[in-house]
Amino acid sequence: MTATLTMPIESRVERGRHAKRPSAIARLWTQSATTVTLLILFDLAVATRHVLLGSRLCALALMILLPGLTVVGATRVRLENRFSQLAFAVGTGAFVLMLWAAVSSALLPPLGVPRPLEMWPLTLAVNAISLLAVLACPSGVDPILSVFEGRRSRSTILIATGAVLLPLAGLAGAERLNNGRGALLDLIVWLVVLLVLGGILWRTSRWTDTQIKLALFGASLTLLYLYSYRSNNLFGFDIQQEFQRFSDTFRAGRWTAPSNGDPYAAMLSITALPTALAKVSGISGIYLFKGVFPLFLAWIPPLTYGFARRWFSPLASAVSAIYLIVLAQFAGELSGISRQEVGLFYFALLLVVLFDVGLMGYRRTLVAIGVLAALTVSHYSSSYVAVALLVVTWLGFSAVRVVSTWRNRRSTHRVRRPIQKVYVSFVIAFSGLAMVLIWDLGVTSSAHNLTSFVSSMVDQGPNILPHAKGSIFTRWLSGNVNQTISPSKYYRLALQASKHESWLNPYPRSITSHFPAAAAPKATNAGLGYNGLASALESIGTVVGELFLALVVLGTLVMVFRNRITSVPREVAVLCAATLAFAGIIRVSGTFGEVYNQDRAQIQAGMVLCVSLALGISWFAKRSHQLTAAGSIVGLIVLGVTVPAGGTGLIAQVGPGGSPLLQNSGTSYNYSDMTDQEVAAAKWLVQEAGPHPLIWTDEFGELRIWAGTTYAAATHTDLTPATIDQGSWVLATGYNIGGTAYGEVDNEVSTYLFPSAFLGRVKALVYSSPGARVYR
Amino acid sequence: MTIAHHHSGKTTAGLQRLALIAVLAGLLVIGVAIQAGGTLLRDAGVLAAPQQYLALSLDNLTSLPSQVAPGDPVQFRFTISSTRTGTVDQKWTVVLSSANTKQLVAQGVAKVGAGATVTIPVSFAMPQQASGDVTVSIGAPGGGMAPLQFHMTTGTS
Repeated sequence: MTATLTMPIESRVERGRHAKRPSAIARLWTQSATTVTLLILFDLAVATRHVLLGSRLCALALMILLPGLTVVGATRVRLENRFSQLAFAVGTGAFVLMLWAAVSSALLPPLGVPRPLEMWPLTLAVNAISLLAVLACPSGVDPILSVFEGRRSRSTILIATGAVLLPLAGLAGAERLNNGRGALLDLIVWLVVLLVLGGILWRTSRWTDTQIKLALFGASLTLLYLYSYRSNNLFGFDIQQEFQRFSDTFRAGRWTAPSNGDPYAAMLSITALPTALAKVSGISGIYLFKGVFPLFLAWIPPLTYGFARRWFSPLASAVSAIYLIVLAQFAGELSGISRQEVGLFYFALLLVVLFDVGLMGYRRTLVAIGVLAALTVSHYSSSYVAVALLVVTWLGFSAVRVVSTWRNRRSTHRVRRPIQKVYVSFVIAFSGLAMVLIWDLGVTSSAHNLTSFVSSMVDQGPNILPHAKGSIFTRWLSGNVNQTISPSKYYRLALQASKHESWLNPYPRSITSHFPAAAAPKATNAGLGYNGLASALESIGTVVGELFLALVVLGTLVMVFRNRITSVPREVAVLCAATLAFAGIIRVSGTFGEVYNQDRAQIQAGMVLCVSLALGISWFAKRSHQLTAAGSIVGLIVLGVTVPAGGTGLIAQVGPGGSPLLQNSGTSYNYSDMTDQEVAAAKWLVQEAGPHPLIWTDEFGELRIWAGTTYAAATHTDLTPATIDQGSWVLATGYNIGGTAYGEVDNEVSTYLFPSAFLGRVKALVYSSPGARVYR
Repeated sequence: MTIAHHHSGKTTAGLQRLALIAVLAGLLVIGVAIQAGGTLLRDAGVLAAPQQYLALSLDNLTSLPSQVAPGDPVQFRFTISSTRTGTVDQKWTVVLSSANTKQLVAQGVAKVGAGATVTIPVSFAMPQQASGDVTVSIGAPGGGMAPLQFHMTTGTS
């Protein structure tokens, strides 16, 4: 530096002009040194993974990042924001692994590699892919170091450290609660997350986009870990079946397209991807599903922020992203649905790449098609919705352009408006459609969901709010949800439904009539007991939720009808309008609700509608002159607290209790938590029962079978004396032993007394532990 | 490239490498901390701890007797499995109950090692006074689990 300052300017220019250009070998070394070094470290980590946990973590990180960063480098794709670029590299890495797993599983077995998804074939593949990709990178450019380029301020390093430590604290809190040490740490972490979210709003004018994204990432990952690390096994419903399909692929050492059209087995995100990661890193599947898959979901709020930030202020964009995080279904539900964690990550990435200013022309088209391909093989429903939205947007915006062109031709005295740029092209929209058809119909034959949706639509139409009762207002607020019925009605409906099962050999009525339906024992009050306060806070949360919805609708309407006064392209307005219509249909239509859960649809729609919300908030802020910025933020925080507190069950704890985040009891906990004893009992049952057994459990008992075994056939869940077969096995869970059972018939749900007296009378108790039983 | 650019380029590359090394070192440190401080962390309750319990199960279910005459031998086997980290001397009992009688027909103590299973054969003669429906209960007192049970009817076999 001293030499530079003391040297005359002319000399420096001269010297620069005659500076020796690095040789080709030197450039190649500059380009590949980091990759080669990291590949050596990766190989060492894989070789020592049995000894060191740190090696397993390093192998896992490098296995995704090395192919991702080098392939992105080779494609020369540079997104506008570094954070988005890193997300794109992670997405590319995961897609490359999925693609390799599928291709190698098809091609290598005939060539003498029967199990291509074992450790060494995969390690070799990661090395080869990364080396080939780094050689294809632009000369002299290091594809890995370029992601870390630029200076980081102290505050950025501090926020990044917090974004790592806070999720770890959440993990520790969840484990303490699992071990019966109380929920204090959970509660503290949860409050810190809320403070962080409030802090983001407070500091939006001072923090950089990268800092805001890091904080959003850390906060979302923490909330996700508070759920996903509950239980020694996997926590949630769908995740149990997903784990079963993963286990099948893991055991086989290769991925094969399902022969029975099973959509779960068709998704590479929960079969081939975790198998590849588990085989090479040595980390168990359970911890991959608990710890790694939430990382994909945690990218979504920062990516959504980046998407809204294209047109709006940091404050409006941050409110939109935070609203997504605090929705109950984000952490509470999606942490238990791994396929959707990956699918929605690719959907968020798709939105970013579609409208990124760093991508132009054919490169944007190719990248968007690549992300759509990753989405298609990751999750069927998310890809159907994505493709439908793209096609509708393309059609809608084409119509807008035709009208604009026609009006421009007719206008003689007005200033002609320029034709707007197209982001969602015909090629992108219809490539997506083609890929969905090829993958789901041609390759995996797993379009059952789609075909059953079409036939339901033909048979019964949209079927508006089929299960809701009460006024139209109540029905709208409740949405498309199941209704609760009494135990005796449940027994009656279950008996009616069982009449269709001609093979059933039930116990005689002379016995079953002695065991009528009864209510489950009252749950102990685990909350603080301020039921009135809890109810009031929940009502405020509902009102706030509807206010946010009103802002979304308002923002969309302004974008569509007064587009000129906004900075948002009309094409985005069309996309938002299509998404809003989709969200509305899912909320009220029973037919749509059967194929795509409305809670999850709301998150996917929310990723697009963050633009509408940001516009609504900007509009609201401009018109609220009497409110200072600080007042608005405090108001938002105070009101916003009621939404997340309601969503995560914190408000419920003020009243009767019931949050699985804070207690080891309650319906949500029983539904999601598989204990070691229950899983062991399920394993014993399946092992003893032999081929084609008849197994009965209650509604959530079957999850224990999915969690612990490869038994994939249907389990009967109408656990009532009159509907159990005489030759059947019955699995009783821990909460069953406590007296509670859950049932569902025709979308009507019931909580009732577990029929232990009946089972004790007619069956043998053949397996017994303090927390599970098996009857025969 | 000027000397300044060259220097700053080198410094930038150095910082970038440092960031990368920091990420990998962070992962290693987390791994080492969990491995080295496993007991400490488990004592603090922040690491997953498998449930420790005993379970009872009946073996060879298809050969369980369903109809037995008084005085005839009754034979079956059951297993005690443990996930506990220490050895347990587990008492077990076999009780026969019918409408009018309840009788202890066999008992013993099984030494069950950490994570081990022990299979116990049981054999007794059906008491002469047993009549009608009889329930056989196999219990392990103090283990916290319900006794295993199966039903028989007494009569000519």
